[in-house]
Amino acid sequence: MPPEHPPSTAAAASLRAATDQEVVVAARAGNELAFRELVRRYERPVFSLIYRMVRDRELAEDLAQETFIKVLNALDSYRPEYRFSSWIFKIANNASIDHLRRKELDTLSLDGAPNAESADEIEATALQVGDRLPTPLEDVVARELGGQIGAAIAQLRPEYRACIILRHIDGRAYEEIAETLDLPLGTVKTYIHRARHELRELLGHIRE
Amino acid sequence: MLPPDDLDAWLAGAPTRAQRIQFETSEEYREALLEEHRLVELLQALPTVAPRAGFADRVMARVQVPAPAPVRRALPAWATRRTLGIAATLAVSLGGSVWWTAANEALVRGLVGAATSTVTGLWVPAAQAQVAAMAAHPWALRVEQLLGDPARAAAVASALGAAYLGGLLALRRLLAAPQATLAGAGHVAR
Repeated sequence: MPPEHPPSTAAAASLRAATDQEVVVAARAGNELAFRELVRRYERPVFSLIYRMVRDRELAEDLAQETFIKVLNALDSYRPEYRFSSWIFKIANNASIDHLRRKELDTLSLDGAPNAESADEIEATALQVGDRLPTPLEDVVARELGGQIGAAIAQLRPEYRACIILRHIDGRAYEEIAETLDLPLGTVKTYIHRARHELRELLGHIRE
Repeated sequence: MLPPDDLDAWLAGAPTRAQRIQFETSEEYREALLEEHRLVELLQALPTVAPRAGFADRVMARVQVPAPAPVRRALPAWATRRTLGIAATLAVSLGGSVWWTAANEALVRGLVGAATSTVTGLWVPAAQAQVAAMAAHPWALRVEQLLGDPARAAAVASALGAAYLGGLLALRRLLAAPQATLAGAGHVAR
């Protein structure tokens, strides 16, 4: 007879197959695994959005953490007729915009936070790359290219920045971006179009 | 500059005939399209970023997980017996009432008829008295003259109808649900 999975493993597997709305219902009922499942699903996209908006790893972690705490402590106010992703991205974007309004950030290097001075600090704040480890050459090229693209994105207006990140980096649909940013669909399309135009101007030297 | 929707059409693999023709005939269009396509490829190729390990634990340490919903207990035996007793009593009473009504139909009809005639006998004189009182007012004659002319009566009816419709529309607007917004999605307080 094959060994049975422990109940918590089976429950986690069942939650992985559930829709966002179903996971939220389970979380509202006091299921801690459901809370963790929501964090698991959205920690990367939320962190990615905030990081690309503020260009500071430490700050992005703080803002992402605040976003999740705000969302998870307010699940009762979530309305299931909306996408959960739109709700959490909206809060993440608002957190980023709030920060950007308070402090205008400089264009930064991918190699570390702006205030990182020592080698340890630079290492600690360096960008953590995804699952697949690139070759050293790919790593250098990706870092250089990624750094230039990231710097160019950082020069866009915050509204353009959020639109272009959600559309072309996260691959979200126009309708979801409009819902997330509370903008008319036509405005979202216009912002993305203008953002691409500005990026082309800014990145003219690396397109060849 | 490439028209806003053109890149999406090409990325979706569904350009229109006009867009295909423009691609084939205009070098400027072709260059703009290829530049935008290259830019999108660069954006999509950016490395994914992730928070440091233990992010979920740090979040969960500051989240209040509600207590699990209590499981509903089964009713005790005495409560079930009492519920059944009440239900049986109600069923017997209802059944007895139906049986008595069917058995004494003539008597029930007589009682209902007497009650109806009493109400009618009170209502008709009261209504007649109200009409007589209104007709005695000095403005009643003017109203009668106003409504005596079919054209004026039609105008008054139209005005009243328009006012009624206006009122309905205003009421509908007042009772409409507020515009939907994402609940709880306000700016993060810092």
